[in-house]
Amino acid sequence: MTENPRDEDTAQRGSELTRSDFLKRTGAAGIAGGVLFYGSPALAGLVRRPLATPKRGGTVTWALEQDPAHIAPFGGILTMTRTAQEPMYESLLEWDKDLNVNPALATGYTVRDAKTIDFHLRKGVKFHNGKEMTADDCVYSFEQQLNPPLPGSVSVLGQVPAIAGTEARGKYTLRMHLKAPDARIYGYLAWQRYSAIVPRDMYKTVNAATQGIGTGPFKLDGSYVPNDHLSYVRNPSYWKKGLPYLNAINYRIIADEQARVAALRAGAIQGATVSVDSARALRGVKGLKVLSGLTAAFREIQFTIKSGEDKPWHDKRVRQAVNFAINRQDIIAKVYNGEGEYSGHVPPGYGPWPLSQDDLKSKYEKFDLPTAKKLMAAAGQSKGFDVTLSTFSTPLDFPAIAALVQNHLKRINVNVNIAAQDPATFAANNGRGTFEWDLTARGMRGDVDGYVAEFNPSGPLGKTVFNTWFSGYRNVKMWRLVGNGRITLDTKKRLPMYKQLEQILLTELLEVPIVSVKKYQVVSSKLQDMYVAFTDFNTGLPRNAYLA
Amino acid sequence: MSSAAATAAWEAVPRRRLVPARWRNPIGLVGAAIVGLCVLTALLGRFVWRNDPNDPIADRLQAPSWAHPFGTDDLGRDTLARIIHGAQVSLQVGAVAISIALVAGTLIGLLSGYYGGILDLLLMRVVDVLFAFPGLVLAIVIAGLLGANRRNAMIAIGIIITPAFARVVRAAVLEVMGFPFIESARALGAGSIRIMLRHLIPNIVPPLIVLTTLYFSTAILSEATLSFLGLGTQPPEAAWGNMLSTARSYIDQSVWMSIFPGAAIMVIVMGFNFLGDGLRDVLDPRLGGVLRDAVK
Amino acid sequence: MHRFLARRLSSMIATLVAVSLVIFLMVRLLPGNIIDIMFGGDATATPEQKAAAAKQLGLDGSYPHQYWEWLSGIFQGDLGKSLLSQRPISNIFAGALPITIELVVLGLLFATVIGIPLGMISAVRRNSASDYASRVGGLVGISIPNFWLATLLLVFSSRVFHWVPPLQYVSFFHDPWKNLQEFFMPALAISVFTLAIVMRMVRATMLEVLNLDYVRTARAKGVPRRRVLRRHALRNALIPVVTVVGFEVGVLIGGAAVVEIIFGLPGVGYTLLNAISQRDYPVIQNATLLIAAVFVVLNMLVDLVYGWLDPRISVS
Repeated sequence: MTENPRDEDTAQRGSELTRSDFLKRTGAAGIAGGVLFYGSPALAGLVRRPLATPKRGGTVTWALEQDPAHIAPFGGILTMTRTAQEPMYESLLEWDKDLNVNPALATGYTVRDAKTIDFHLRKGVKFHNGKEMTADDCVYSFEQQLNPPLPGSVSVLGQVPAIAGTEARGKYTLRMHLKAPDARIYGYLAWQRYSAIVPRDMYKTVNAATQGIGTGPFKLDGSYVPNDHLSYVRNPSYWKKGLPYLNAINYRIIADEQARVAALRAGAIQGATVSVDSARALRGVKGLKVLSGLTAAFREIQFTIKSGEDKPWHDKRVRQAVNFAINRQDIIAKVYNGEGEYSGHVPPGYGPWPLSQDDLKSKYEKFDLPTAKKLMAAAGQSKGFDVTLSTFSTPLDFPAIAALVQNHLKRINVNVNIAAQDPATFAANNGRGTFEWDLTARGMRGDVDGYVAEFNPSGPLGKTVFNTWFSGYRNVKMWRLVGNGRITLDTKKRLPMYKQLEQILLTELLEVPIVSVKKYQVVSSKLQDMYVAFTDFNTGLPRNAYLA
Repeated sequence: MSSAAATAAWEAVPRRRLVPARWRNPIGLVGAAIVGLCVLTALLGRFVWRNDPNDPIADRLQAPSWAHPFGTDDLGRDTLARIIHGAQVSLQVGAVAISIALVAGTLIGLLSGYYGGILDLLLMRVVDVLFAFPGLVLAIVIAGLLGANRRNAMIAIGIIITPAFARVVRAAVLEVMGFPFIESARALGAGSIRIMLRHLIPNIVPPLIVLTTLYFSTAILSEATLSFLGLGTQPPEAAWGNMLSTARSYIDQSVWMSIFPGAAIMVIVMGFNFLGDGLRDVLDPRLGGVLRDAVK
Repeated sequence: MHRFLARRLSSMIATLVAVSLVIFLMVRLLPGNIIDIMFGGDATATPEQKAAAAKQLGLDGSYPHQYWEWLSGIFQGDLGKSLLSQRPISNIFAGALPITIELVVLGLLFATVIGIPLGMISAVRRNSASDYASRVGGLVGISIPNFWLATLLLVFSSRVFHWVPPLQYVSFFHDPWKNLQEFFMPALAISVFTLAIVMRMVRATMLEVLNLDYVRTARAKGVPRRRVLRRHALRNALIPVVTVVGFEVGVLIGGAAVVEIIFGLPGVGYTLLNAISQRDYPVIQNATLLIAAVFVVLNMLVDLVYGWLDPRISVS
């Protein structure tokens, strides 16, 4: 790490932090990030919705669109794995609907020094097997998180912050040691995707692939039956008083879109995720309502800029021309039925971090053909060039966007050949950097750092990634911002850093964000307080929803 | 075992004919007409119907109209233009896959029939391995693992129809090898290559013609299936199979998107089947026995 | 007969071993593996992390070692586990096989129950309107793509009858009625091709048999037409059909893979296709080998039955 001057700089910034600094910044972060460490979440829910009183009872049958493969709490690589296990597993912290960090199994934390945090565990929380949750269980759980056993995969560790280990300090205090100061830790815990808390030795007592013991609002009823279903019943001793509202949740796995639509029409299920077009067709159908919302998923084009190559898009002006020549409004209208948002490298809806839609629409991602043509001319590329744009063959919006981009770029004489590939081939090429342009997607991250880590060649992961994709590119300012952002723990200070970084990224355009996609869930009109979770899970159902 | 011979005998009343009976084959003629039309569409269609198959020029999901006789798809592309492009794709895949099978199958069959012995055993084991899979399953596995695109689909389809060609050629070669003129050619000092080129190949041409026609339809149908499953031609390029696959998502909004590509596949496959059937009837008196094993 | 059986068996095993080797190498030598997919999209992986993930999944050994592990496992009745879900593959097959078998059996049933009588009628009333209708129908039948037919059936029934088949797989033994409702359409969709083939075959062989001396003699002797057809013609006409049926099971397995996707039935084809897209090596290997084994054994049985039905064919 020391051979790189940027890296030294980063390290120095890290060591400059004193303990009192850190405490102050974290405290400030708490407020700026909207941490509600005082009021209870249930109360917050009541404030938001003062009119209706939720009813208790009832069962919701919901169709999952993909088999979760397993429901083990650690190291699941599919989003659906977390979605399926979400009703039963929780972590120390949790996000609310708007990604504010709330206390969950921990009531609060004390930052002892830059690399040590004490979490104060909630007392009296019972696992589904009746045993009380203690620090010892948490130690076990973090051991598993840091080395996910099968059927999980160690491949998720890139999403896990620099936790060195944890130790129990008494029954209700968990001390966490970090390898380095790391701002990602709170998001990691609140995301809950990889940070579940389970009873000690759970993997020895149950088959974690199909069964589980957590602290969540629901407990598993029987076992998960692959390709078929899994069922949950209310956890009567749930620590959030009065919750959950539903008696039971049945998840059925129905992979075929048309089958889900038919099941919704027939009333056989009370909810499912469907495509934008199916949602449109189901709008106004009696007994159903359509929910929609942004998720973290967005589409983008990424370039390879490798040293030793001399491609037209190594010139920044060409990349900018491409950006201005893409008509995002057209893509949103044709591919997403008019519903979708512009996206930066941090997607809209991701807390306070992204740039505003106005900034994107009127400035950074404006559709501006004359400027695009001027930039091409300035780069000596007015005659254009040929390029291959690789993308996924499914979901269908990828080839559809590719077709429109091909069309848009014709006008600046860029001749795009589309190579739609199956996910495995695409992933192999993407990971090895064997492509010219990729039309790809980004998903949810525990922390904003996850959206920009690849732009810093001195970070632990950036080193590999950056050299695979951008070895022919240098930008010290960008690298510093990424490196410093991760170790800056004060959200107030962090915020302008990431805005500035986003502005740089949207000018340098190593990747061109295209659109942020909405997700559609069609539910029975009796189902209240359900919402499309930004995380792409199904959080509203186990947490808030009730049947009127 | 020759069914045409049997048929002829069963026929009680001979009719008067200008053309020899076996060429007056209505099914075969209809097939020839359909195939001709499809080839013309593929070659010349885009000059007659000038819409760009990839250009989203119109409103989405329109029903057929004068401006767009087959309607428009989910992005507002002209379905007729895409069907025309799909015809090129289908015929190209058919032609390439058949060529692969023709060359590989003929070579395997010829060598194994002519030389026999250990070579025969070895080559037939290879054929056995290929025959150990239902064709479509093998195509799915090969195309899926090679990486889903049209080139790999063509290779996969070529591979799955090779064994049929190999067996038919081998059987035909064995039959011809028994004829006295081979022996006399040998006695006159003709080398192996010469015998194969001068005597064997001309004799296996008729069954190969029928086989090629019949398997053309298999190749096209397989390509459509692979594309439908996402293992062949990839969107956004138009191929009938992937058009149908996309259309499934819009079946509530536009049935038309599902109707035309499916009908196109059926018509072209039917054309080749009719033609192949007709050709078989015509050439059958000589080929029935050889072809029966291999023909679907 | 025993020698014939022994020879067929040994050649069958040799074929299957060859198949296993080919498929083993194929899944490994081709681009993209499950590690790529696991790190895909994010692509934030160091080589060390990739190596660790490969090791965790047992993909770090040499090829001969991995191959040996697989084959020796099979002989001990252990097919291994899915890389993605770590489910034992025998469990996966236990769920998937009944679905595919039911589809194939039903498809075959439709094809023969409808195809054989149609073929007979067509042959007996040669050149009549019904003959032409069924001949053209037969050609249409082998030309219609089954996935399109399945889609059309689904659209038709939902639009016209406002009925769609039940969407969740139900075992036949659990609820036969619901199960049959569920399987009717997909089985029909895949049976049409086979039905057409069977019909054409029956027609052709029937025409041949009707011309054979003993049938003509029987008719000349004044044996009633129906009886001739039943006693003499049909039996002999069915012999070649047996061969076709053996071959057609393969077509039906292929068709089943396609309709399983359309109708969301998690059978063997569905499993195989998913495994291919996830590069789940052990599942791909075992599913392919399973299909090959079933197919090869079936073909051998067909040969035996054929030899038994038609003594003219010498089995040695």
